[in-house]
Amino acid sequence: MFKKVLIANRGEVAVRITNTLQQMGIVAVAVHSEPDRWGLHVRRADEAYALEGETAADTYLRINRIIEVAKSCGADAIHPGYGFLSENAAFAQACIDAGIVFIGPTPDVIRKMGDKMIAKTTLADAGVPVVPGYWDNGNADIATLEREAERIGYPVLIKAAAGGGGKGMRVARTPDELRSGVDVARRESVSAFGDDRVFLEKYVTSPRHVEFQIFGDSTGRAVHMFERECSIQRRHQKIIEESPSPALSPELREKMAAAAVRTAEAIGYTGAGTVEFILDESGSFYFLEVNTRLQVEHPITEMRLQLDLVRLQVEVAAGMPLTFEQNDLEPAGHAIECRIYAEDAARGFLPSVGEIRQFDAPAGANVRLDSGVFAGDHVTVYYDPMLAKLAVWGQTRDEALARMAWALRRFVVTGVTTNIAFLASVIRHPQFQKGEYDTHFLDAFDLEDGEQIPDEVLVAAAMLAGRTKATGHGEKAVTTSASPWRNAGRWRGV
Amino acid sequence: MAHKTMLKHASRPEPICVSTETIGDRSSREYRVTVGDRTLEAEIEIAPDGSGRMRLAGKVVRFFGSRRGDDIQVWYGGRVYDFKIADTRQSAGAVKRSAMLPELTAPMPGTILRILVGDGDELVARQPLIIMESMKMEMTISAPAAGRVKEITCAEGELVEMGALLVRLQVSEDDDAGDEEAGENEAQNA
Repeated sequence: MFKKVLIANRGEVAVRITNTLQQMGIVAVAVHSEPDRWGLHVRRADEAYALEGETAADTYLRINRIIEVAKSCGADAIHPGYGFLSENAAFAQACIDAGIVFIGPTPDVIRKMGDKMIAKTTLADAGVPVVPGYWDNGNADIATLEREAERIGYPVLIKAAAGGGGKGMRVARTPDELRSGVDVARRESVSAFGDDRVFLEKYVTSPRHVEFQIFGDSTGRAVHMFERECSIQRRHQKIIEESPSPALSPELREKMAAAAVRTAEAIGYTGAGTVEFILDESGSFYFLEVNTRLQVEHPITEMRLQLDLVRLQVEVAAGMPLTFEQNDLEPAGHAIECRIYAEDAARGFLPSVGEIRQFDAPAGANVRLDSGVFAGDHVTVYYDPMLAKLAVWGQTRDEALARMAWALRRFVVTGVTTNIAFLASVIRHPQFQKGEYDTHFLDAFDLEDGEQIPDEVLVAAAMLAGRTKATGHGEKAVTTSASPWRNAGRWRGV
Repeated sequence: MAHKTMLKHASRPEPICVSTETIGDRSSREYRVTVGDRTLEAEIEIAPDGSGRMRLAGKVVRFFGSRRGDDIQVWYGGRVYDFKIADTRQSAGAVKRSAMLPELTAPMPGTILRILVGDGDELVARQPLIIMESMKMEMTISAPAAGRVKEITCAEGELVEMGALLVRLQVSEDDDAGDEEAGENEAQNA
């Protein structure tokens, strides 16, 4: 087993990996940017080394510098976490070249799955269902596109080959819409990317995002660890995940799980990965992509299976085979995760920066917190504003929902604006409670607002206002008028 | 005599007038709190970390409070309430004029993506002036009112600190278009 592992990441995931490494008796090494030098992941690590710089590009994305640190401190392996370099084939290769184990799949698998077209073709060949579409070289004439759209079946999605972020994307429900949509998509794509190639894909009207955790070892064996339902998204980013999915019948689960395992076997997957699917109302599902890393929402899988996925990742990377069979995995109960972001739901989920004045998280049986921050910490503009992940488990979905509602109501974060109250209103929503939702759920979500300020709040505010020199916690406050929070207030209307 | 403070909250058009006074001797934790035209009696204790307990109308509840200069935050029942102490010396008119300050600054550190106007350009209220990027988000900085661009003090591609001066404006004096929405930074997905 490894003696020392470097974690090439920051925030809650670096803390979470540190915990497992230390529990395994492995020395955990942190790397950090300048703004993160007092961060929680640095405090928890056994050793910490600076990556000089502030931005992600100058620090957590600098392959050579990270390898250099790993070599000089004598790390046997590097865990990339998620994000940053976790799905970078060049980084995985650089680790191998330096004689350091990369905790993840092979560079070849990362490269293949990172290219959406190669991933789709590889998996279609392996018998995994992919979204029906028309891809050729992207220069097909309109007559060909019309014929292909008929074959795929309307509505279809017109996608720019070079596209991204919704640019050059159009939905067509009729041949007329197809003709005008192709023109618009081509024009948009030329102006945005200098490329007029377009493709067609079946448009799934009420999609759910359901993914399966997979795990492979170096003997070529792969298992699935059941699903996570991740349809609650804002800006195409998940904020609430649950397992099991309220949308899967046992038969459908079995079919999707088999496709996930087929995916893992087809590409010779090692370590932890996730196969993402789109599921439509009729129960048809299509392969979306493989995430070749630990997923943000892995805690809900761990809670249902009583497994530590990071420990398994480390063991598999060290060459150990999985010690269990598919049939040994029996998930129990229901788990839900909420991602706690420093952002303002009332202002288009605008990130909020500044000092975290107070941070008091809920605790209790079947409540798990993966946090990367503490009271007095600062949220900066440099990195993703996710502060923590709150996960709960219950015997039933109803029990888990009630526990999550309690936990969110009990979760205190002040200083930066967070999405906690927003998450609570989603959890309370009747449609969510019934499990009837798709990836568009938050698009039409009405914020609860305009309510009365409770007397308790007015009294507390009056007490704080009445102190010329604010007491207690506020004392330091009066002198820190230059804190970013103060200025961030101007954001709300200059 | 209790000291009166005006508190502003986003949900209220007018500031709320509050004051507190101790009931009994100075060591008492019981207070008489006036909120607008109502008077409430409460027993309150706030610990050094800002966590507090309050007995109000026979019920004991938990809250968190913090203050940074004029900014007050109260956490209660799963929500955070933001207040700002209003400067009582300033009339409502003065507040409105200061909202039309002809200097626009960066609301967050970030990169200047695009500058949409040039020196001397005539502007209408809410006209987008500068697009910035910060934390993977694009935001548009718009004119608070009609007027003219006096001077652009940043360049495309420049990395600016929070509060950095971006543009000086000359606001038309006859124009009263400085409505509340104008000049607000609108963020959108990058």
